[in-house]
Amino acid sequence: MTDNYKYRLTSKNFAFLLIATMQEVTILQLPGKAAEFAGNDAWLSILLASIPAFVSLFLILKICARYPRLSLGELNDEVCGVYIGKFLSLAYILYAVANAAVIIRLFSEVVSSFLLVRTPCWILTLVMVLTVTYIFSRDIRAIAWMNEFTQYLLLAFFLLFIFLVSKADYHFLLPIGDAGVKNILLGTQGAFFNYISPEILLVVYPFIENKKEILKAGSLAVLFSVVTYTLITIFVIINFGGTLANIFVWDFLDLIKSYQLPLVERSEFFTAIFWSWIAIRSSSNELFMARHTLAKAAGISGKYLTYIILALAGFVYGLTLIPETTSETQTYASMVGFAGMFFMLGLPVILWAVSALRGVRET
Amino acid sequence: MKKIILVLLTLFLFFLSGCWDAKDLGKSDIAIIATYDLAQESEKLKPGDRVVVDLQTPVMGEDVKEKAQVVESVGQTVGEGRNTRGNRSSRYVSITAIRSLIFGESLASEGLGDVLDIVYRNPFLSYTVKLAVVDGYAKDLLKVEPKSFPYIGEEINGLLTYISQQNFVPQVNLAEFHIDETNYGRNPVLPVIAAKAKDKIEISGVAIFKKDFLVGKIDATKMVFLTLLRGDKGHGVITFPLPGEEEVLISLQGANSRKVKVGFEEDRAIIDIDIFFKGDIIEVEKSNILDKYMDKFELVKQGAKDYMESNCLEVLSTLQNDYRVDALNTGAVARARYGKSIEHSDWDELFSNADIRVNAHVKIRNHGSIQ
Repeated sequence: MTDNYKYRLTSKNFAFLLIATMQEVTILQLPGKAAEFAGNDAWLSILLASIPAFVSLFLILKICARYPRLSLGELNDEVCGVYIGKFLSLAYILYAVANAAVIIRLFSEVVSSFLLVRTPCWILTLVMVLTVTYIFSRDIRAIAWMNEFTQYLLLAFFLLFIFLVSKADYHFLLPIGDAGVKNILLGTQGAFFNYISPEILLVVYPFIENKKEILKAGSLAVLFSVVTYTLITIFVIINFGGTLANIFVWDFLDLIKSYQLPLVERSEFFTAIFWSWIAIRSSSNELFMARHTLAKAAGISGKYLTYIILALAGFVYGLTLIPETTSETQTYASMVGFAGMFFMLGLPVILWAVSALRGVRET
Repeated sequence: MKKIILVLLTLFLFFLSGCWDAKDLGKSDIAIIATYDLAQESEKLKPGDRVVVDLQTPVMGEDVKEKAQVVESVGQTVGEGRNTRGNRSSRYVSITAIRSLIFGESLASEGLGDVLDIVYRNPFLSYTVKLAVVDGYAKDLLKVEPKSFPYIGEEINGLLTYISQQNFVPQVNLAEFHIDETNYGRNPVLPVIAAKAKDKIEISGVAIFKKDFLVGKIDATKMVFLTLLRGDKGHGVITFPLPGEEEVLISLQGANSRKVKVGFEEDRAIIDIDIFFKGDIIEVEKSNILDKYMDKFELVKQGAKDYMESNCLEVLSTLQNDYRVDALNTGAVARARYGKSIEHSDWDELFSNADIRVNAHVKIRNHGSIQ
């Protein structure tokens, strides 16, 4: 267990890391949230909502190029000074842990709704936290490989789409743009949060070997999420229509529930189980980012990393127990989403602006 | 540290070895079908009780008196009724294996939305369960004692599952009903089941809904044409007379599809419905009536086309004049063309006053082993 940079990431590793962090449990709700305003044009909102993610990648690369050997914990100190720097690092750590907690709790809500109704939530979240703790205690390369390996397995999930057209009605998609520009833009607010994650580049930049390939790899990763989200949304819309999609809590699971797939009866149960990997790897990545930022910001050496990991695990578990209902969890998810928007777009802008104004360069 | 983690993980395996809230299947009643009715005065336990739900559950074991039993619940709502079910059943009743939900006519007339809310919310009930309406009380259907099946629930589930593979009958599941009752320009339909004798049931027609309210029925002779008009995928037989030789009946077996175009002339909707029927000649009443000449073949096609179009117009007349509801979901096509601005209009009214043109296209693939 160490947080030095002897473990290197390829740009491909980074792409899979970004995909895995970006894609989490709320994808299951994505079409309905966008359809709340955009109706049948929800898929257009999903496309538009991806723009900040590309912008964020560009901005973060700009600032990281100035400090190629500094991770977020050190970068904040270097650019903003010790006090503000430490404050920003602490805020990021809190955000990453809260994000992981929300992902874990939301997945527990899915499991409580579809699979294990009688199992207490604290047991479900405990099992998740233990699994996640094991993963985020590893080094970055092992985590990146886990992300890549599971992504290949999850590609099989796309086969589902073949079956989801048999009862589809493309009339639901027409006329394109009917919701109006205002509603389509309003629909993006539900989708923005699903593109949050490029900020992990602020943390992992020093680990990446070929820095020239980062923009291409990152853009491809975001593009992969755009395609995945748009397909999911289109399939929900052509099957349910925007009005009905907005009624469901877990739209995509309900869509799968409405089909009887060959060989697999009650396929929504299997999908929910399948989704556990998505939740686990996303929350593991977030917690690794928190762990690494904490270690760097506090200057903690490798031998104390175990304590950091255990402290973060305990903290994240405590946070998962705070919400009492699903809707309360959703409220926390929105709050974390807004914080994520700040770290994805606001923080890079602040760092870049301060750095430019002060003319600071890596020392 | 590693040792501690290993010990913890080993201990943790015990959590994975079983669950304390497991339900022994042998001690559970597994419902396979549910019926919903308006409560009759004699069934009400208190004033305000409205819904009666009957679940048929197979009884396991070799020495049982009955192969299936009915567990009944009564309440103001379906949810409240579950308490009475708890009072009346000695075992845990599982609903995850339910394959069909059957509604009494009177309840359906008052609207199914309230009754279905608990079903839509329940993650354990599959969205693929089939729905149907019963002529009269749904619970009476459970009294039918079939000769070929151990209990009626199994026969109903089979009937509703394979219905569209053997005739042109709309096969509707929970998701499809929810979609049609929620979205603009759509209305659901459900097959109607009737008890034909003490031991027999049959599909006796199609129930027409205006959103979740039952507004009428189309009988079995016309339901084929309603299905063709709706474009619900079906596979069945159409029998019609050969034009000019009315005593010759020809049967075509095949599958259907449709295309719809909607336009407006002034304020009146113009709806063009193209029905596509692709099938084989499976029976000709008089031998050698079909020869190798194409003109006879064309005549068969024309006969099928005329027969379908004239019957479809009769169904349309019933929908437009008697029920005044678009049971064909043509409003979805109008919505797709004109956008949300059309949602300010009552599509069912526009449909009722529309000029609807039906055009059947028949394609004959084969005529069997003889000419």
